[in-house]
Amino acid sequence: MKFEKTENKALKESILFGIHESGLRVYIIPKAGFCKYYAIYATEYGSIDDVLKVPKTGEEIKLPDGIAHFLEHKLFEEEDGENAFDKFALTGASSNAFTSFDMTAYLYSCTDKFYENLDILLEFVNNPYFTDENVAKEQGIIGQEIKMYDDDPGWRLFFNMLQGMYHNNTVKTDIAGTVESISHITPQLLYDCCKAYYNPSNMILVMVGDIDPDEAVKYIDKHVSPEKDMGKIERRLVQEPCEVVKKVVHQKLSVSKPLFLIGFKEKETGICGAELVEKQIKTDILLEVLFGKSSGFFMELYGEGLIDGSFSKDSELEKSYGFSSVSGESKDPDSVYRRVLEYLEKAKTEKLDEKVVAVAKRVLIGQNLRRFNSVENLGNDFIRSFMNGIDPLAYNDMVEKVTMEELEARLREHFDEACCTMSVIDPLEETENDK
Amino acid sequence: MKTEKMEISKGVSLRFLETEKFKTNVMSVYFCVPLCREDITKTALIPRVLKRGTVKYPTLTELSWRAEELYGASIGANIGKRGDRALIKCSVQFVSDSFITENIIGDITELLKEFIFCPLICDGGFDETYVKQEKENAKNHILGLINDKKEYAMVKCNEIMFEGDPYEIFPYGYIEDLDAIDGKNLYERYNEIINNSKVDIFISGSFDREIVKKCIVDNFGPFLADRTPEIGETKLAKFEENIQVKNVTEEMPVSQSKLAMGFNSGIAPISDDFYAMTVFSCIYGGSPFSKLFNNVREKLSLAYYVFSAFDRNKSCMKINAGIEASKFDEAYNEIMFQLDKMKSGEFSEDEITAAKMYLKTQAGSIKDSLSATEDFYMGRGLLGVEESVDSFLEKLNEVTKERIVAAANTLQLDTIYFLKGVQGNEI
Repeated sequence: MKFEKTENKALKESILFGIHESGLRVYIIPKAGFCKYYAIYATEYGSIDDVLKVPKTGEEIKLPDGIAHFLEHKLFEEEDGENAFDKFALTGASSNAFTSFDMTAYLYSCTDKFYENLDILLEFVNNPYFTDENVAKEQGIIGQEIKMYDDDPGWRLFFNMLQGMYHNNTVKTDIAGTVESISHITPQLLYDCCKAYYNPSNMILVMVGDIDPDEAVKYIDKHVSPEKDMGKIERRLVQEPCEVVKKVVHQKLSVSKPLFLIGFKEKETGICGAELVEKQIKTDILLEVLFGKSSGFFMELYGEGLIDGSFSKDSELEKSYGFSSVSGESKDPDSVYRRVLEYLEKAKTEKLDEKVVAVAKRVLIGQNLRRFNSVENLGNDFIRSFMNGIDPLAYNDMVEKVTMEELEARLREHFDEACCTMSVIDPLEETENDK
Repeated sequence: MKTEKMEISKGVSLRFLETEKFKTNVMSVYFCVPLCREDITKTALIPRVLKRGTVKYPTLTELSWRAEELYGASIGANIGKRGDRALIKCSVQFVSDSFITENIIGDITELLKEFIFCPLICDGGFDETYVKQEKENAKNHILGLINDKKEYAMVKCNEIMFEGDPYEIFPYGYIEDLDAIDGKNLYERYNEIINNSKVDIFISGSFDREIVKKCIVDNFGPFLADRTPEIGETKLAKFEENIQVKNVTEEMPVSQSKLAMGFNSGIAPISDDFYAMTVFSCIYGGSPFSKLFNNVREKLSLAYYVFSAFDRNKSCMKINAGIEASKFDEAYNEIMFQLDKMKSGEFSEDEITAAKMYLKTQAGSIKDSLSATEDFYMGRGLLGVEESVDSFLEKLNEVTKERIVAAANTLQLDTIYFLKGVQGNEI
């Protein structure tokens, strides 16, 4: 297979890209000087995929919530009774996996024997082994994982926001599902998902380090067969109204002080590539300008004791879903909510300060440079970019190009009260915290 | 990585960690003092107040703005504990000059100097408004420990295990001590720390050594006169004859129960035993192929997470697991059963080899991160040893099965803390 090279001389970074004959997209990020190598192998399949449309037959299978994550756990299991962790143990690699809304990824980092580890990775992901017994065993382990998250205020805060925000989009479903939903998972369903979603055209392999492409391709040839190719799996697009389901969602947990998360739903989905990254950049500049630590708004609320150092901002814009948010702890989330909305309405009527925007751009550029400090960050961040058809090396230049007019337009369009949900985690009992 | 250490005044060291592979640099200043119940709350409050403003940048807005201008430099301070000592870390991470169109290292050093040595002072003390607000934030932070049940269980286990010992101290301080703190007495504590504590300065990344050295000496030197710091010795968690295991259960309305266990060891932090203990820890509960992971999780399906960790400074081991309230006995028995097997040598040479290779990868993670490298050298410095990551690895490779078994046999159960879930969460 052939690789094409993209380069950014100012960053001193490059990327090799090629498509394997099976349809697998392969990326190599050359990194010299680091002790560790990293590989991440992912399928564009995550918790939002609730209906499998079987390629060729077109048959539709409704999937239980949490099955993508369940499958992630189960692929580590091997037919010989061992698990892939034990195989990696023989080489010293550190391996793991994660499931997100739209992706399931398997990864390892190592200092030695990169290709031997690549062999293990590609082998175990492409050789599922499910039995009634090993499925039942996993239900116990994942049951504990679900319960751990049930007690995690930050996690509950986030999913309650999504449930308040989305009517139909399956992004609101908890990634691990529920103890009840995972009880419906069977070996056959897992095999069906694996066959479809883990077919080469639906997957990406990213390798970071001082890697010989020809040597890596030998292992791809060995495990990823063109016969398994079924083409890219269509993701079901759901119609989602702009408006949210609920303005405010509350839950009580044993926390010391209320936690809040105020989110704005993205109105337009289905976009990717440069268009998507531009939108991300504009949103991030605006969040920096409006809610950064040097903003007047932050200082005002901090000074009043309404927010503290935990106040932060975030945005997540993907092809199938998107939102931006501000979050933190507050003795009075309702006031923070009201102040945020008032502040945004006022900001929409004013001009943005050019100097403040210029500094916000610097912050984004500085943050982007930091991504290159770790082989793991590079792999994890870039695989997401590749999935969305984005060239990550162009990021800094794209930040520079954003204009004041574009930012002002984005501000007026995105931060809309009708698309806003606040999630709050309240303490179980009124505490004597506010003297 | 090239490293060099020098003294800029007595009790104040400067270490260079040079490497070209990162796009950012880190500059840090550490202040080390003994852990002490009387002054920990004040000590913990200082990083919070420093973040509020300096003479030149008197508000949080101006201070943040300055850092943002310097390509989003992140400046901060925090407190932690290492054995029976508290450690204040003030640090700035910033883009190296080769990736931007200007040289900022001088501005960065000046910013860090302002942040640490030129806090906003009114009438001979810290600004009272800032102190009052930060006392409130500190109180909320201390109360907020309960939000993270895993962390809460670990802290509780530690408090029970080390009752009456400096190590029981919670490094973020105590709510009941906050009332008595004001701008003046906090400033007195600040001056004690600046003038008397052991200071370690680090500059890591790619830079011109002579230029940065001059920057640091010129900026920090005037505030860091000679000193004879008293940082004290850490009292190790030693094996006790006829021990009565402390067993505490606390009930809480949570879905998942948390089991935390503490073990004494007493092996000396600077000894060959420590390396044997590191390999032991990896095999027993510190890796995805460990005895605890493979049995408590994979075989018995009792937990999603279960792990052990050895604390070198205090010489103790902690175990943590998230389990079902009704499965306490099963989890506890399996954890102890696996430990007994380790103690009697029931593990293979292959597992030792696997652990050594896994630790090599972990050492790679240290070398591939500036902050982890800094932390590695800082930790060794506090113990009074000079050791590179490579020589650490060499020592690990020399460990034999016999020594691992000997290390395992120093472990003695001291404390069991169980955070027991009693009902579901209401929505």
